[in-house]
Amino acid sequence: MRALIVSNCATSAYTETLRQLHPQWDVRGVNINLAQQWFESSEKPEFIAFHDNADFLISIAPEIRRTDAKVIKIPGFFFRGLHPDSFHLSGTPSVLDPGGNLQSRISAVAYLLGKSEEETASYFNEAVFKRAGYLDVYQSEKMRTIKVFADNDIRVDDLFEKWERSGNFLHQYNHPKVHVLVDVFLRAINEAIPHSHPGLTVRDELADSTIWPVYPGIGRNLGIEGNLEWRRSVSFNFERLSVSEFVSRSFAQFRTGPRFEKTSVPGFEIVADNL
Amino acid sequence: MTNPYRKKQKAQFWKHAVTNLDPQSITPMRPQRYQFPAGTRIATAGSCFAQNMAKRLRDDQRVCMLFAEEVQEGLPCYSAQYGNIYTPRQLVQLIEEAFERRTPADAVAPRNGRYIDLLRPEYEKNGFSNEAALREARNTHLAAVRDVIQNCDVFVFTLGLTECWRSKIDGTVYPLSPSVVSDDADNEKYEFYNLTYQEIVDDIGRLVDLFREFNAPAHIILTVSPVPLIATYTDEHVLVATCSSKSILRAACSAAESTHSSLLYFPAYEIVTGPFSKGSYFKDDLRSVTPQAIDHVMRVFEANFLPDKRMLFSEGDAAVICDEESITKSIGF
Repeated sequence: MRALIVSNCATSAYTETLRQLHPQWDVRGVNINLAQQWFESSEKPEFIAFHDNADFLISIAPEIRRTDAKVIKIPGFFFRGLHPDSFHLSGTPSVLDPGGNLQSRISAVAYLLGKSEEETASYFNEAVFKRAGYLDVYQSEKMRTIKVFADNDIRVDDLFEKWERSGNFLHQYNHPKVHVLVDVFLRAINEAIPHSHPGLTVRDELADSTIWPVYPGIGRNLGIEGNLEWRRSVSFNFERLSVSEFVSRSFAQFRTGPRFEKTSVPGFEIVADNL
Repeated sequence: MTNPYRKKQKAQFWKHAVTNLDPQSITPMRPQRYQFPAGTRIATAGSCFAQNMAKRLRDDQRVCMLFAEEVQEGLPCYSAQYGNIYTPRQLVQLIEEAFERRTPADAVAPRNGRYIDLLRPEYEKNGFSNEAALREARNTHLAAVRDVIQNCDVFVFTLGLTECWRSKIDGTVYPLSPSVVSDDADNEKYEFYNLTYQEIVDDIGRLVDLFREFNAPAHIILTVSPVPLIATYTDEHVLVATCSSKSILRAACSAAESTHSSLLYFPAYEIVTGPFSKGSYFKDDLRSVTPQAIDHVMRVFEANFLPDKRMLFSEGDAAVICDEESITKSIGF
């Protein structure tokens, strides 16, 4: 059997999981952006041939190319309930990994309001988080996530209870820990791909990427104490940034990067009114 | 020794949370706000008070009020045309009937040569011309009930009474006494029954089980109607019977909430009957609720559950594919 995984940062975890479930299968994986590039440029004919002849296509966007394979759609996992301050600012490289655009909402808002770096660092406290509504979004995000997967016939409401018992189940808002990805994958393939449950040992690749902290107060219900220390990826030797370093580097990036407006920062007014 | 109450919030002290506040600003929030995501599909059912929520939410762009059947002029405004559902047992039996788990033994009665659906007597008040037409309409309705149960994200149910009339044959409970709505109901077939606290708790548990089976991700919000009984069939004074009924329902909600994580209690009852309104939330009949009371209830409901009109997040977050250097881009190619 040939199976193709097309997903986001979960590609590696899904591919590795299926390979362990069916070692005799030819299982391959491609990031969705790269897959689109290969479809459009035809620079990778073996990929297109594999896609067109696959028995199973497990994809975040199966609609991008016609297929005769058995299709299983797994939507991208993102959950902002533990990291409500982080967002992607298009065009502005992140100080944590310039390959991405992940920024702090508080930092971006304070920068646009002309606040100093010291003032901005001081806003990273539980009172501001509470006023800005950061402590209120967990349940909303949980409901949204459950609904997104339920709409694709993947039940995760009971899985959430298990993940919550494990404490912090994310590295950043769209990087769940590998046990979450494995649970979602197993639930998604369900009966379409019969499998037993061997002792899966899937490497948590995303643990080597950026880790955004769960701020104090936000994860209290899960027993997460919280901290204000950002950790960069393996490509940057897991460098750790304190809040003052993080804000200082973010401001430097904002000053030298493309100009952005408050309309580029979702929730600008909410945060600005509550600093 | 440290006073253990020192760490409690203002909301936990009557003086700060009630006495010293403008009555309109009293906002009994849940310990943790439970914000629905935009577009959440809300369904409602319950006693007459429950209609207010459906009427207020149907024009709110932040959520989607679910209507599986057209709301007809002069009929109660709910997600399906089930009419008033006063007890959790009535709701449980309706859902079981919709999913073919039970068939009520006695649900049709004649009146003036026509036929009344005893399980929703307000629908087609003048009756159906024949029994077949009634059953066809009921099957259509049951399909709508299935639609509501399977497709809502949040189901709001308002408990109204403990008193009910039920069939001696199979225990089916009716919203109204069959003898009141039919001119030929055999009184011997029906009996008055006052549901106990434990029965209400158990019925709510059955409701949760049914949702777990047919729509596990859904949340159930329980409220208790603040509207007093219009009459009691017990021998108690109607004021005493009202207090007994509402107390049992209210206590059962708390018991059920502590047992089932998918279930939340919303204090509409407390908002309307709390002493801070000094009776101003009831009309001259001291039973009907004023528009000001509904405003207050919905203001607190929105603050507890509805998303802020200003959004913290972008819908575009869903489309973000991160591109960090350390992440594998392809495997096997």
